[in-house]
Amino acid sequence: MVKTARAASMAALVGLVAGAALFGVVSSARAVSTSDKPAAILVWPKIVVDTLGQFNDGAPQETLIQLSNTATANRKMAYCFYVNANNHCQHNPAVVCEDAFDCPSGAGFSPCIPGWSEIDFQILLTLDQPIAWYASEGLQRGDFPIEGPGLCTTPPGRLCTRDQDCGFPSGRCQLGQTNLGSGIPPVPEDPFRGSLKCIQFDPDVNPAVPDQSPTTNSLKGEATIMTIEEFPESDDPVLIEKYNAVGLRATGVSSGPLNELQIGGDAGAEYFACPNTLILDHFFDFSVDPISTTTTDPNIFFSDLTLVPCGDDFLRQIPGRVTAQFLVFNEFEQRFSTSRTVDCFYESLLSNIDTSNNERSIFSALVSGTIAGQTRIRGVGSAATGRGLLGVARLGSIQLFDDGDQVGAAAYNLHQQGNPPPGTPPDVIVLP
Amino acid sequence: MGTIQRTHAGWMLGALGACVLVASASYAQPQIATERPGSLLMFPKVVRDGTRDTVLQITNTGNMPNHVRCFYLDGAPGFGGVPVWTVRDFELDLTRQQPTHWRASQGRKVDQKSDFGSEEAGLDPGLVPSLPVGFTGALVCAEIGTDGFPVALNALKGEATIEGPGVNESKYNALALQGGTTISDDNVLDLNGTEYAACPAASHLNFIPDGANDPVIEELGFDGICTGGPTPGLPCFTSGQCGLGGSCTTGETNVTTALTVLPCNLDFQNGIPSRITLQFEVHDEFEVMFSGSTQVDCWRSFNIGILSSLRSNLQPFGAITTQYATARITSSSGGPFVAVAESFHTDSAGNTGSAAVNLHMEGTSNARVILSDTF
Repeated sequence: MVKTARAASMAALVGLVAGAALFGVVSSARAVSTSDKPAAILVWPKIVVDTLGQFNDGAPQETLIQLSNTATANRKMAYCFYVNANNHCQHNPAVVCEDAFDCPSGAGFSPCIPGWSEIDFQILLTLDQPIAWYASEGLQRGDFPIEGPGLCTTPPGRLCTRDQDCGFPSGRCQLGQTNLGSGIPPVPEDPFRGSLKCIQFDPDVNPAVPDQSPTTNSLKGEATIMTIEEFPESDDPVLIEKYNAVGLRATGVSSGPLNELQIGGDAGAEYFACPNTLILDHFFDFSVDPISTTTTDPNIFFSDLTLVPCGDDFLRQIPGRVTAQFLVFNEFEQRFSTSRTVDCFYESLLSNIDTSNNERSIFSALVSGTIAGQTRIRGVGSAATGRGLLGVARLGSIQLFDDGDQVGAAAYNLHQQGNPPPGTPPDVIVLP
Repeated sequence: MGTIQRTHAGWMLGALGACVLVASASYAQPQIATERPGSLLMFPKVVRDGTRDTVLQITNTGNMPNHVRCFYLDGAPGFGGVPVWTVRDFELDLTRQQPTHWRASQGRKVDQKSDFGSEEAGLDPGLVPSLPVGFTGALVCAEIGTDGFPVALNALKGEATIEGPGVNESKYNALALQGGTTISDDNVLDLNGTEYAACPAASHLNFIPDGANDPVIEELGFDGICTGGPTPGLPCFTSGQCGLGGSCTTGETNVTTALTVLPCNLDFQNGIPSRITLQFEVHDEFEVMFSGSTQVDCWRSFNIGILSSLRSNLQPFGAITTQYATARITSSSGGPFVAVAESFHTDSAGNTGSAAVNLHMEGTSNARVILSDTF
């Protein structure tokens, strides 16, 4: 009788343990990347600097990056990586190029070679603190708002090294609430095109480690891309585009080496997975802007898409590499598809994704026949850093007949859908 | 024999427990998000005021046809400045994976003979009414079943592109609230985290204090006004542009941010507007805290600089001395809200660029949306 009861109990227990294990598996595989909640990894897919307007018809561009710590009781550290995706001329690697025509060499042109490099830096944020910087300038010692060893509880904003500096006992000195130790370099080149990733670390541990504490998931960020066109030639000399940084939330689990961050996966996920599918609602390129248009001088829409892989190997300097599959639906529910390789960083006009002849693209209104479209983007591939993708889109309008001047621009975050299917290898960020 | 049977029973019990655990893990609580499809879409800011117009996009991301019921909510100020709070509704039918769009000022007709490539080409989802000049308000859309009651396919996503003044463009994602596994057969949508996702308890806004200068325009564009010389009043960035005897007074750029708020408690059946009280907890870069509050009746779009705690000290009575700040916004009465922010950067010549952005959300707070009966 006793043996019978024990056998039954053991069987029930084994079943429950198996269920608990499955519970963990199902929870880990969920994709909850977000652009509207604080997170532990932030990705700004598109950072642009071109202060001389070299690749923008003389119109300077700059990116304002905002980062804040939403934790109300803890300081946090952001370990950040600028990914420089500039191309350079083969014959002169100091020259930044967009295509071979930017690389005159002798009687012809030398190839324009894609590049990938990264620089990293750290930012210490006090509780509830917002900071911001321009990508072309960064922030150095002397630029940060709180650079004393401590901050008074009262009077607010006073720096201190001891309680007496704060009028103790009415005020006390909070040592450690400081930005000391932070340094944000300017982007390594001007012009610059690339992305930024920041990973939340816990500075209260020595040495600091990726933050899986109960107060993790406290970073939020935005990017504002500003373009100053020439006035009065341009109807809209000040173009402002803003998007939210995409966040990957920590699971609270720390597994594996500290410098390898596992994103998703069937077991041991330290961060929730990148989405299985990105969804881009857009206007097809060449579609006529239904609002600000006249029959004599219509504006037409163009959109561009920036994609970055979820994973990167910053230690071995191996960028993420993912094949992006595109499924395009027009307002007739007609479907087209194409694919492109995302090698570290991919940015393109929609109508250049599948062809160099924009008018014949499946993303062109001249082919699709409608104004609005839905494009579903899925990553595939077998790179060691995974196959997840993140991105941001940009809507622009140009005047069809007036030298093609850009007259409007707006950035927006992509939608996402679905969890990676079971068995999908995780995305991995390897830190140096 | 008894041992085997009892062991089998044990396995069955364990397996049942395992299934319960897996099912509970698979059923995630419905969420509100700006980057995931849902069953209830909220576009907090729709504008057609003569200088600005809005293009609305809705997509069915599912592989089933989707029937949608939409409500325009007019929050334009009426008599005495009180929002008019009129509602008009319409219905859409979207096929699988179908995107659609329309212009707020024009609506959309049902005309299957629209020319290929024309503005109204595509499967017309239904008759969408046009909005009058002066409309400022919101759009709310819910998935509806064939019986006219809400369903939760969680397949809708949306964007709004606001154009103007001039050729400015701003774009934001609609807030999508997911539906849960049990939707009751009535027109009362409980946003409680069970039937539908709850609204956020707080929103976070990173911003440049109202009235601050824009350092990029100051550096690269027209940031000044000529004083004296042959061209007083003209925009400039160096004194050399102002002619002999003239000088360029810089620091004339300006950044403002408009916050548009839609209460989550919506009663389209009885036409009862909600009133909420917003509380702002602001921190500047020195971690100094300020606070402020204001009320929202039905719907409201306002420059955050109406509160001194969100205004730059470059403006009269402005409190914030740093270039950037962050605000945590909560509702202390009347229920939760959703919001979108739009910043305007202006140079000394008055040229303005704008950008809309979705706010970050935190926590949950229950609300209720009551759809009007169909008859």
